[in-house]
Amino acid sequence: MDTDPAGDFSELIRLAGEKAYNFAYRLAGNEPDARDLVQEAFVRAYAHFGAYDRHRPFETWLLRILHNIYLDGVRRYAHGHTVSLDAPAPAEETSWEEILPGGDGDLTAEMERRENDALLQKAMESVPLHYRTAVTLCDMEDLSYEQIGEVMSCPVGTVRSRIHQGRILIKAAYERLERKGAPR
Amino acid sequence: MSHEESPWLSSLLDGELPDAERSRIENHLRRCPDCARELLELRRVKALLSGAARRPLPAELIAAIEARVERRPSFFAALRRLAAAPLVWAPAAALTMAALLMTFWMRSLDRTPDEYVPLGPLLAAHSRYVAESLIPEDNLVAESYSAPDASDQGSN
Repeated sequence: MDTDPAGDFSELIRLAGEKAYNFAYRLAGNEPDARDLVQEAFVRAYAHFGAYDRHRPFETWLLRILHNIYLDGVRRYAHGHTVSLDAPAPAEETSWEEILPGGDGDLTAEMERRENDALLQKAMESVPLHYRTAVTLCDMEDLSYEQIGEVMSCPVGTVRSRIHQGRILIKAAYERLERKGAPR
Repeated sequence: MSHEESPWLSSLLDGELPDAERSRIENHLRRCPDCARELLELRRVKALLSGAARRPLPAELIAAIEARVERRPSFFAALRRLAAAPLVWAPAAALTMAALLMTFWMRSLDRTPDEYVPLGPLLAAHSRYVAESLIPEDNLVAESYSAPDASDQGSN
């Protein structure tokens, strides 16, 4: 970062961007908000890059910034509206055609995959945010418990219980939606 | 199921248990079908989540981030750019030097003469000079040469 900070930062955007984007999507529940979150997180990371400890993974630091931005946004929104951190996120309105490759594969299998993913997202959005965040970081973004603790600013013991409880809640929600034949 | 081992099953699944704790939970699982079943359920949930669709980072989002980063350089990047620009440094150095000189000059105006000229020794020397100049020349000579001459005394 000594010679061309903006150029080197572009490399970090490409390395950590996909993880940040998917995490943001699972938090926000829709793509426009996920894009705004990721953009704001990278801009803040760049502005405060001097505070980044280079001995630690960049993506953990970035995800922590992103998580804090999201929490700030939820709290600010809550000032004018009746919402809580435990409330489910807004429903996804983006079509799956934009997400998944298609056209030349088995259409039925692809449709089934889309439906399962939509169901899973809906199930995740029905559980409180701190459970969803811990499970997302562990199972979808492949972070260790210690890294999750850094992102969520909580001890490993708390991470441990949130992941366990979160999986149980997501499983129950998923099965409930499956039984009901949830709207896709 | 509410076995005390239950909360540890997810940690076991994630490889996040210390060795001693892992042995204890694994021993329990051999004897407890409920916990073994729960572990299986947790594994299914984890597989479902791990296999969920990944969204690629949109190219236009990368471009938007890069554009904002280039428009708004970090504090440290701004410092580095400043350091690398002699046309900025030269006037800045001149201004700093001028400000320093001005500060010293302004402070010197506030001082009494005693603070910056050591007058004590000067006054003492001046007094000695005045006192000596008042002594008649004969006396000065007499004083200067009044010391007894050892050779004269010896000859007496």
